Amino acid sequence: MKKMITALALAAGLATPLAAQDWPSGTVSIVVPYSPSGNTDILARHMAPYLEEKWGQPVVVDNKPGGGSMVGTAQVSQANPDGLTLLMTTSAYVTAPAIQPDLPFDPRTDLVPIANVGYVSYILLTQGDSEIDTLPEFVEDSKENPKFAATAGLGTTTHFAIEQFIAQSGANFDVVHFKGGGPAVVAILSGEADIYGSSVSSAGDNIASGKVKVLAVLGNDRIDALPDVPSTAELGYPETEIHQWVGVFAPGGTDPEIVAKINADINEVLQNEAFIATVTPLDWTLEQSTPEGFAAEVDKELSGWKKLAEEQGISK
Amino acid sequence: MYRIDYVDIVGGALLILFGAAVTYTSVTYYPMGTPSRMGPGMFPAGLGVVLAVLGILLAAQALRRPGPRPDVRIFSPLFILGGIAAFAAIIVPFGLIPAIVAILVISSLADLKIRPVSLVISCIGLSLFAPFIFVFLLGLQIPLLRWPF
Amino acid sequence: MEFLGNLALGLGVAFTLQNLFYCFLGALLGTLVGVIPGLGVLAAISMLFPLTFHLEPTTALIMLAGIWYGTTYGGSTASILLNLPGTPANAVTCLDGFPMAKQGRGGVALFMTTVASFFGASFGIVLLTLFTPIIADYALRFGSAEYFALMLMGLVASSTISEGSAIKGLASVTIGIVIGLVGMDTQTATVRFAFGNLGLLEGVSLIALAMGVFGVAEIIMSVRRVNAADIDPDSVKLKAIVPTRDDVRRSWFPMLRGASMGSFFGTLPGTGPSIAAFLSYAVEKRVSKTPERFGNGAIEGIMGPESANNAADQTAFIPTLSLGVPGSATMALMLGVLMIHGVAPGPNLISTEPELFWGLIMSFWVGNIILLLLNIPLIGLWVRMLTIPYHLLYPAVLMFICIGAYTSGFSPLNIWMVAGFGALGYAMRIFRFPGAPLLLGFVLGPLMEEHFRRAMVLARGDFAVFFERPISAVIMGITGLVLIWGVWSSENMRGKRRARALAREADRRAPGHSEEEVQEGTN
Repeated sequence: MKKMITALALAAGLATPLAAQDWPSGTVSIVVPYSPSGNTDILARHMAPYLEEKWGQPVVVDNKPGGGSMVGTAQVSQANPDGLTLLMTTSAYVTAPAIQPDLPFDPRTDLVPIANVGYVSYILLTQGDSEIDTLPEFVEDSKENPKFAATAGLGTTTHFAIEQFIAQSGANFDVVHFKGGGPAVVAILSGEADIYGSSVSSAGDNIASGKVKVLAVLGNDRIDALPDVPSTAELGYPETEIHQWVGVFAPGGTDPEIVAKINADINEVLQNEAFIATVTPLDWTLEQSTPEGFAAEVDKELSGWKKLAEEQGISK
Repeated sequence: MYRIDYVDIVGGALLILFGAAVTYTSVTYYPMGTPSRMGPGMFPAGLGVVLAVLGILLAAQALRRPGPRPDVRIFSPLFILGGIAAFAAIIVPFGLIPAIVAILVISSLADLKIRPVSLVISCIGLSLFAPFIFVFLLGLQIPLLRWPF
Repeated sequence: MEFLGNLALGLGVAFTLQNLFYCFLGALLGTLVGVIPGLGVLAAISMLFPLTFHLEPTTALIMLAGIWYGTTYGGSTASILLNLPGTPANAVTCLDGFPMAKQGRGGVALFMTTVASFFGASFGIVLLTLFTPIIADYALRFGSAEYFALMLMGLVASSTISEGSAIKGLASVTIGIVIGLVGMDTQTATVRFAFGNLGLLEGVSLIALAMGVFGVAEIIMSVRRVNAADIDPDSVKLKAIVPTRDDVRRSWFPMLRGASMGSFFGTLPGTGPSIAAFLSYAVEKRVSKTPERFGNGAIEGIMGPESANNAADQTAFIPTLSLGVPGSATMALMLGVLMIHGVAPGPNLISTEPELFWGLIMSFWVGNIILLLLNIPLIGLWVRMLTIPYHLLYPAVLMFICIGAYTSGFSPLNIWMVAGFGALGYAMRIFRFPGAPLLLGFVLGPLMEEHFRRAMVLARGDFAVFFERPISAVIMGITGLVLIWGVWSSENMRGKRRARALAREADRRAPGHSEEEVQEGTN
């Protein structure tokens, strides 16, 4: 009975507004707007225990896939700005608004950038038992036998990356959207789609087991995680710098002190030796950022992608 | 007993209306796309048509046969749904315990009999039991008592 | 020989004191969460999730898995006693379980569903043990066209399961799909049917829908009609849980068929237990010589579905562990446990982590036996709930429903939705539309649309794709048969039932009943 009354008093106390020093007052949920087992989801799940240790509160990863990440993103934009609901998303945050004009939120004001986590390169995957071994052969073959290219969703960076490659190489790919990197990789495994611009961690175990074949790294340079795979620039395609970054956001109107605290804590995790050792094999290049610097970057990219989408005619 | 099955005729008519509304909304507000690139409007527009067709079939059958009188109650749904609405309105500004008392009192009225003693006992009992389970055992964060003013 | 070695390895892991304890803890908690209406398995697992950081990955998984299948055991309790399904899979159990409870056979129903759950789970575990790698490969042969066809089959079958017109069943399914589409479109992020309410972006809450359409509508119908005195006091004694010889005889084949169907559907990501339970019910009703007993407390109607959904719960681990593709949010959490501990799920998991894989599988046996031992004595306690006077019981149930709906998202919007769906459910009762197909349509609708649209992209807009791919063509063929059969037999049975209904109506209008009483439904 005594415990009951204490609980009662505690619970009543929780109703008062929170100051930054009390944060976090409860479970922090990190919304990942993609299906489980994709790139962002894996990174979030690796980070969660470190943040939990720092914050002394449970940190739960919550998948809200769909709409090329915009479903989960829109939900966080509507959440309470108490810092207990955070969004961990990819550069889709800046690419999707370029081709989805009627989003129910404004990416410039309805969410606050907290920290840039890092970035990964894209690798082009096809079935492990495919008879084609190189990217130029694959592109040539697509002119006879049209291919399907999977994406992690409409307007995601994987969508932009593959559209850009199609435009540059003259390949005959039709784009099919899935609800994140996990399902897109499964589509390659099952033969439903023929090529996917994936990250190393989304492909996971399937590269080592030979279920998928890596045709090339999309970009100028090879990557350390797969030193034997040529880059598209090496193969004679135009030079291109396309990465997928991952960042953390909070609902617009979150207390700047809380934002600063989360930013500092995330930066600390990104320097943790054990954490670095787990994610480097997955091709992550980690960053250090300030909320202001990240916000400026997001703002610049929002305009940049919009322009690119118009120039290249990428649309729904 | 009705000569024709009015219940199903009204049911069928409501289906037709609902289906038409769904199709109208989809066609008007959401892009349709093409069969190979469907927009968000195509699938629901099709569902609306399916609903309307089912409504027509239902009503057409009902015209050919007698049907029973419906058993429509007024007070039971009123007090029960009212109790739930009161809970929804109270829980955020005033907290869990007032919401519990409200739903117990209002929904009990659906019985059309007032039993003050057992009502008070169940209000007190459940106001202790529910917080014990949800807040204390399961650790959910619901304020028990609040004063918004 | 290697196989026996693996089993021994697994048993060694499962029978350590620590693993046994956490397995018990998981099973107990799962049962409790399953029994409380409105609290989902996901909520329970999320709450205990942080605890798992400090455990070995195998132990952590054993505990979480215990909660996962424990809720399925417990979930049937509220379905049978209160007509309150915790999940769509349990909605099927309501159809015959609740009538059994009304007839004073609630104890038998609870006991037999526990047996069916155990049987189905065991069947699933055997498959999991023997065929994981093979099954994982065949699950990959299902593309978007096949998924769409399977879901269509599930929905059509579900519309034929309830007593009454197949047209109404199909209408319920379709309304369910429309409700499922509320919120953001999963492909283009367009907001549909939300009418400017941003709380609906995420869509309608499943708990609010299930609790409203089933629980609240049932209470509106039962107030002032149900009396605790109606319940035979003998029916709540512990010996009243013993099934009759007839019950047992009728249960074997439904359990077996249910378990096979459940095992199959469990392996397909995203569809799982609910389709399996509905199809199992549809099949039992079709093969039965006395389909008119269904909906009035036929034991086959609870044994098949309960066996099916438990089998599906077990085989759902196959895609999660061997492909790294979780079929549900709950499975994603389990995957999360593995990844946090640096275990990569995928085709190599069984060879790289044999202790984890075999230990987990053996712990399923232990967990299910614990659940069996835990649940049977509890039945006596649960059925006693029926002796609580209804005027005390129903407000308390409403309160639990509201708290459950609120905690699934901490938004009062969910409670408003409970009220709205309660009104819808009541209207559906008046117009005699079945509720269970609505729930399945709601769950499968968005998935179905997604697969339909994707299949059309992959077929370059050619609708014939569903009939050209062999697996999909077979499923579409079966769907067509089910539809024709359903419409034909429901019209056939309608004739018989109408005759009975007319006879009853005539009785009711006998002298002594005023018009008023008939309308207020005092019978």
